[in-house]
Amino acid sequence: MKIRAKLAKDATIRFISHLDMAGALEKAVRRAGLPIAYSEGFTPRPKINFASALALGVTSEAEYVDFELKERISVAEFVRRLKEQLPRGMRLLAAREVAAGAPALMSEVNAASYLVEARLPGRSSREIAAAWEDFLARETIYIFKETKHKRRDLNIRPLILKARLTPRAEGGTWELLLRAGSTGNLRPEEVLAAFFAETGWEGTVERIHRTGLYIERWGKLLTPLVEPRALEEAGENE
Amino acid sequence: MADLQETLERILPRVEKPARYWGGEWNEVKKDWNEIPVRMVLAFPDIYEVGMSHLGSKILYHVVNARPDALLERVYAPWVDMERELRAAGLPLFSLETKTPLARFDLVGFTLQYELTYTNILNILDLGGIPLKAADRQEGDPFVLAGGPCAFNPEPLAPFLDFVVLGEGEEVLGEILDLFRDWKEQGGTRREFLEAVAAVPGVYVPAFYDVKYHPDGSVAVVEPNRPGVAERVKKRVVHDLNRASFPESPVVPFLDVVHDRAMLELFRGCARGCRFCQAGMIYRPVREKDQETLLRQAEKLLKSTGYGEISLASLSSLDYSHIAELIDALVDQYGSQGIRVSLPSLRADSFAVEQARKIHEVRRSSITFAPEAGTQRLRDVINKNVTEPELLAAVQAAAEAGWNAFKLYFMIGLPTETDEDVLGIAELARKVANLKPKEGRITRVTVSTSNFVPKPHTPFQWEGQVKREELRRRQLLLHDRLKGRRLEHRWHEPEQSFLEAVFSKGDRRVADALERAWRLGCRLDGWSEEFRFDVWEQAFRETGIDPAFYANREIPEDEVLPWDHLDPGVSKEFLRAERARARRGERTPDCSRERCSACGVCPALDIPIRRRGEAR
Repeated sequence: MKIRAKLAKDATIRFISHLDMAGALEKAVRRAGLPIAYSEGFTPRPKINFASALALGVTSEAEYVDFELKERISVAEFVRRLKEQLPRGMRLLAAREVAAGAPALMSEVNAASYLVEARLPGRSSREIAAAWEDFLARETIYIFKETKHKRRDLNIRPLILKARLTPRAEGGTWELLLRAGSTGNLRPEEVLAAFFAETGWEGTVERIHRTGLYIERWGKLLTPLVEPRALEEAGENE
Repeated sequence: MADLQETLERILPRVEKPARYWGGEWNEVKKDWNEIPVRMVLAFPDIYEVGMSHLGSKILYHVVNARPDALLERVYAPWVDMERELRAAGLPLFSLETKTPLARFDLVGFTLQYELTYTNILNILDLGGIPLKAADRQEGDPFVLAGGPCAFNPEPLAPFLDFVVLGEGEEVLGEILDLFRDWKEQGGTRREFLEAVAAVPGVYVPAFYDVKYHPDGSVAVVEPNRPGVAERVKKRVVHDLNRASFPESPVVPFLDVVHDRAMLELFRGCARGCRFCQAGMIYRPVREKDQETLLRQAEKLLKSTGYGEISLASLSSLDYSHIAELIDALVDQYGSQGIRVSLPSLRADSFAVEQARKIHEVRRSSITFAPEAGTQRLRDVINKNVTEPELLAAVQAAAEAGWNAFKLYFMIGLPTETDEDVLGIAELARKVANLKPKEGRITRVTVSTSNFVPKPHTPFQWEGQVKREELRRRQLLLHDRLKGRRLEHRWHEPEQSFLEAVFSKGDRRVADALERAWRLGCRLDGWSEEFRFDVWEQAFRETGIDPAFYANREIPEDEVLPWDHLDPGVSKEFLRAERARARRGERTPDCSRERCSACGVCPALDIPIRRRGEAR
């Protein structure tokens, strides 16, 4: 069976990398004695798959993880046992059974929402709001993006799905909904860096918090847990 | 420490792997600082990933934190980026658990695992706000202590340490903490505590001993400078490991550390008697845990940590009396749960290959054997009792079991070594590469050569290290002969090995060069990217210390050794006799299998002499 869970990564463990957090979850699952399934081959790995990697330093209240189990177990039991074994800073928020053949989270999730706190020393609230409005009004916003495979100029404007700024003197809070996953992935710090570059202002990103991961389908935003193929549910409501 | 916490959160995003400095791992013990009278920090003088892989530290963490009246927190050497940030922010080095600056602890304990971590000790003290020299510490400053294998010659660190603990720490540390708690309650002076602790068996207070030198620079005498101090300090050992305190719930790091697995210690000591090996001498005698104890401990360890691998960690794990049964039982019980059993090193024989096969090490990685020397003559000199036919049979068996990459470990510069022995390494490697297994094939043979470092309390303690230029010539000689298909040669640069020898065999005068080198910026010397030999040369020059006197000089057997007043239980007569046998190419059998070799350790420590597998 497959159980999909929603986890939080709190500020106390924001300095733990995504890979290390995955390792910690793996160990928690073993301590909990959950009947996790293993991959085949010389180095069998437990079948635990994250929807999306989270950068070091970023907190989140919406990390989705699929667990493939080799025996049936109630979702309530799964939640109870795993909760006891999670390290401080990792919280299990909700879980549901999903169809065994449900597509991989990683391939489904295509949008992510964030809260970003940034500082812009010496700038008034009004100045910041106006500059942000101009920035968003542009049809194209190019950034230089370097990945393992290629270096290119990328227009990130179409990847900013929604944005709302609450400005204040010398900074503000940005609520961003950005394209994520294999169809184009934009990180919030890239948006702010482009904004800083555009304005020529010295700004610093103070805090990034992921508030949601979504499957955008037919113009609607679904969370991976209310996705129609989900079956059984436990824990807090979405 | 709200300020420290805030500053830390500001600087951590700028350093590599901030989790090294953050704590909060599973099974971390965080006690209420204000409720606990005795506060100690265990300082591992290397980076987090190395320190968190060290079994001894896990044991001490457990032993101290199990006491209601004491706490033990952790600190590791900061990497260069973190040191820069700490100094720039004016932030003192702090413990991981409660983020407390080191200077606020009662006791700061270092483990001495490796000579090239010594500058890190000075750096940790300095960053922690603690006066470097014991003599400069005032009432209210922490006591700085040290233990571990290199504590068997702590003289190069003597001015920096308040006291040193010889041997296994789990029992004696308890006695020290008892004493400390009482002393603190009664409000005694620093001097009073040091006098009290010096009376604890296994504890050495360097300041209570004077060293006199001959005009030629050799040590004339090391003697107590006050009454009531033992002339020789004897090491401590745990007599029954089955009853020893065992860390059932070790801290589980978030970071991928060097040994990221559960560690099951099968036994202590090793009776093989390799004459170059300090661990083989100072950890004697062999004391095994019962199989029932081990299976019980394995279960608790895996349950409390969630590790997917359990390593059988001992000096020569396959020498455990019931190793085959133990491996069978572990594989039987945990194999189906996706938990692997692993062995840290293998003897070069087919029994070893058979055991490795059972735990599915095949194709996971290469397989490593350590013949140590290239000819039978030299292997007899060092008492490494493996023969060429045994090695070739082991490789053949391993290749047929499915391994195809082989690593062979050797040392260059062993006593009596000639070019013939050096070239013997190449010949042996070639024979291994040319083996024709019935199934499978040998695709790669990697020869790894380190440089021999003579160590205190071994039969080779009197030997001088071969000079650097000569070591390099021999490494290159071998390198030329190891060219060829399937052959690969890796070797250590002689400069680091030279410095290891200086600090391994150094006396108290070497401390000046150590401090100078640290002031000139040396640290993390065990990391080749940070090691700066030119700066070390400058430090020796400026302090007027001749490093070759310590590293390269052969010491006459009748000369007083800087570590003669420290007693690992193995007698000096035995070491002398072993050296003579080495010169004659005579082997000494494993005392736990054949006859007692009369090293003296069992009677010295009041431990009954026992054969392998004999009931206690």
